This record gives sequence, structure tokens and C-alpha cells, in this order.
Amino acid sequence: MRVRAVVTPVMTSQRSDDFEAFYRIEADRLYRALAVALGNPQLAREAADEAMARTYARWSQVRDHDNPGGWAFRVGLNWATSWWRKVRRERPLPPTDDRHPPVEDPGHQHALTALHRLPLPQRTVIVCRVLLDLSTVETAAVLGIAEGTVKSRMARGLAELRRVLGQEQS
Amino acid sequence: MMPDDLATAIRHAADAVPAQAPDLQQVLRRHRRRRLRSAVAAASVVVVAGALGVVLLGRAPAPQPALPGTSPTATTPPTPAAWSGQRLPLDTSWNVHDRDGKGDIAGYQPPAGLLELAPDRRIMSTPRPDVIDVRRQWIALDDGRTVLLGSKNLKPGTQRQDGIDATDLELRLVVLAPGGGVTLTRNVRVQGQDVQLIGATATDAYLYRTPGRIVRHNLATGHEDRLTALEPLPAWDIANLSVQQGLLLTSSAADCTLHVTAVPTGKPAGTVPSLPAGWQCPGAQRIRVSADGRSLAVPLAGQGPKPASAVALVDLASGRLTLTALEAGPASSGILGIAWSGTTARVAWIKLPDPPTTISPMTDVLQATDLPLNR
Repeated sequence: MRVRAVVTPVMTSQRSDDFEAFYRIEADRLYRALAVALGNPQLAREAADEAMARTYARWSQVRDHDNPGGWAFRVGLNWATSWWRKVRRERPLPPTDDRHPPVEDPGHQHALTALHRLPLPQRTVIVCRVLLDLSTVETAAVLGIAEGTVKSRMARGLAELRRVLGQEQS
Repeated sequence: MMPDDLATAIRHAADAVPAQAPDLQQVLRRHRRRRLRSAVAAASVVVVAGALGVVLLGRAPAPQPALPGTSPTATTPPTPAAWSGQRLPLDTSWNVHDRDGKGDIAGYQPPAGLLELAPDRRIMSTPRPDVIDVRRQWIALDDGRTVLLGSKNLKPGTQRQDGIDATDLELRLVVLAPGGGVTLTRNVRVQGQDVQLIGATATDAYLYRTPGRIVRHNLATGHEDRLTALEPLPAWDIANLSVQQGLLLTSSAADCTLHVTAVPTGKPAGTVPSLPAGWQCPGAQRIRVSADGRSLAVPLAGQGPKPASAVALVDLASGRLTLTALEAGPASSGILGIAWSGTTARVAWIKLPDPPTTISPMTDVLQATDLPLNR
């Protein structure tokens, strides 16, 4: 079973006490989820930071959201795929952090490559369900689509993923 | 339902994404830039509307939800963004004591979990991961990860003989991601031996294994190298061993002598002065080495009914020692941890009410003081 760590702030009961705790819980997961969904770690880094900055600005409302992490993912995804972002994409992205080289495990890399071959809608559903641990209902709410759409995209995406990974293994 | 193998493959895919350390300050800077842009845009609209003779009831930008500071004290100026140094773990082992020898206790109530003082001087808590039952030692890496050693009882509820030969017990080395997620769990126990975690880097953990061995344990592979260069050193006390920044610290409880040894060579590193008299001998694991390996911060606890605490800053190149006393309460609640940023040591310590009569919330009594080292 995967262990989900929970980091809690311990100070006063002030309104924004727990944003930093939320950040510590979600920042890395949000970044990785966006990187898998977008297929671009640098863009994901910017999207994750932007999502977190917007979350911070609205923390008094977002903290009471059913799933603040899912909300932040949606914000980051929208930001990265919006027309405005595309227009502004001429701005150079920050360099990759060389202190943290990518994982060398070829199996992991194959899985990432296989995921990137999926259409974005299928990929985002899989990311929500698997990496963000959202239920079908929560995924539908976060992405603003019907539950049936979540299920069908999930099924198609997993089938394609299984096929691609199976090919690579054989 | 999703097959486990596919879920695992997808999680592995996420692991293949190049890691990037989360940076809260970057997010806050981005937020401030956005707020500034919004304010400028709103002001522009007001100017245009004013020129048109329109009364615009614009809403001011939402106030920035400030992260709260720590306990209000004169010694903790609110400089949350100024600290960019080592993480500051808090050792709250001795949080309650018998204040008068008659069973009346006083002290402070720490929250559960692995505690550290955040750069903005808040207390952060990471819960103990479920993969261990009891925590032994833990090291806060500067990249945000945490390495800890703890025990896991594989047969809870089954009475057995405790000790180094206990059965169905694992001693697990665990690595937590910056968010607190478990990224590595490995049983490092050898039946019939004890093991302690005495240091860690981004790639290795340093373990003390009985009898009398220090090994470098590769976190990625589990391979261990025995550091034989360190073995001719004086008799070790497990509680008084620490490896930091390539240095082995040992302190003798018998005469309060502190030794600093280069791990690769086993030879003395720098000049270590005698610690001042009249203080309890510090455990090596409570001493903090600066990131450049040139300085030590040594927490000292006084003795007697109302002792002070103090910090000795040591420049290893010259052997110069600077002692700073802190107006602390009982020694047992003194210094909780120290971290370095450049040549400044940040000391987290407890100042109990005088006289200490109650159990105070930790947030009410925790202090943070920055001490500069003049080389």
C-alpha cells in the first residue's frame, strides 16, 4: 500500500496557517502530475508554481474546497494549455535544475514515454485517478467533465497504455 | 478497478520526471508579482474611469494572507525570507521535567511527528510514516528530503524477548520526499547487531553498527562500505557519534572532549578548543556543522536549579570559540536544534515562564535566535 504522508502545520489557528503545510504535501506531487500530463517538466514547473501562487491568493476559499490539490492541478493545467500561455510561450523557460538529474531507470522512462503517447484528455484523467488519488467523482469535478467521460477516457487510456507497454516488453 | 501493474507503471512514470525541489519562496514571489500587476491594472482603470467622470467602485486586491510568524519574542525579528540555510530539526525529547523533585511537572507540549523550524520560523510537523512504529534517529537533508531509522514490529501483540536477537523485528531505513511521502524503505537490520543512523547525505546514510563499525550505506543500492579509517578512534558512545559534512564528531562523556575527524582519512580536522567548564557535555548528534565544514555550533546546557543554556560557536581553522548564553529556563528544556546559514547559526530554544509551573504550548515558549560567527 502506498503511504500518503500528511504534513500539518502546528502554530496558531490563523486563517492561512496551513498553506505552507499544503504546499509541502502537494508541491512535488502537483509538479509531477503536471509534468506527466503536459509532457514538459519545465512548463510543468512553471504551471505548478503559478497554480500554487493562485492557490495562495485564494487560500481562504480553496482550503475549504473538497480537494484543494485537485483544484490546484486544474488551475495549473488550464494555465499551461490556455491560449494566453501559448501566445506567451516565446518567453524562455527556466533551465532544468541540474542538481536533480532524471531517474535513469529505463522501465520508468518507458512508462513515461508510453503515457506521453496518449491524448491529453486521457492522460489527465489517468493522472487525476492514479497520481492524485482522486475518485471518479472527484476527477469529474476537478476536470469539469461527466463521470461517464472519466470512465471511458480512463478505460481507453489504460488499454492503450497496456498495449504500448506490452509491446515494449516483448 | 485498475490493475496494480499499470498503476505501478504510471507511478514509475512520475518518478522518471526530473526532480525539482519545491520552492515556496518562488511561489510567494510569483504571487506578489501577480498582485502588483493587478494593482497597477486596477489603478489604470481608475484613472481612465475618472477621466470619463465615472465613479468606479473597484475592489482592492485581496490582501495577501500572511504566513504567521512564530512566537512573539524580542529575539525573533520577523525576517521569514532571510533564511536560506540548513533545515532546523527540533529535538523535543526532554519536554517535561520534574520542576521541584516532588512530582510537579512543568515544560511544554510539542506536537507529534518530526518537527522542524521552518525558515519563516514556524513549526512544521511531518507525521511518522506508517512503515515504522518507533523512530530512532532522523536527518533533515538540505534538499528537503528526510532520512530516518526506525523499528517495525512484524508481529504486534506477540510477546517476545527484546534485544538484538529479537525476532520479527525490522530496523528500517526510510527516506521521505520533501512532501513527506515515503520514497525508500529498507530493512537494514542484521540479526544479533544493533544499528543507529548517525548521518546522511543526498546519496548515503552513515550507520553505526555494533560492534564498533561505521558504514556508508548507499541509499540507491543498499551497498555498504565499512569506513575502516575511523575505527582506530577512541571508544565510541553511540549517542555521541555524528557524521556531517564529511566530518565525524565524537564527544567523550567522561571529560567533555570533542573530536572532529575527517571521514575519508580518519585524521583530525581543524583545531578543536576545549569546551568551557561548568556546562553539561553535549552529545555529538546535537552539534551542528556548517555547510562548508568550517564551523561548529555546540549547544551547552548548564546545571543547577535555574541554569542557562548557551551556544559555543567554533571556527575550526583558528580554534576560536565564541560563547553566547541564552536566558533559558530549565536545562532539560533548553536548546532544541541549531542550523547554519553561511556564518550565522540559528538556535531554536525554549524559554519557559519563570517560575515554570505549567505545561505550555510549544508555540508560546519556542524562541529562535541568530548568532553570527566572526572568523
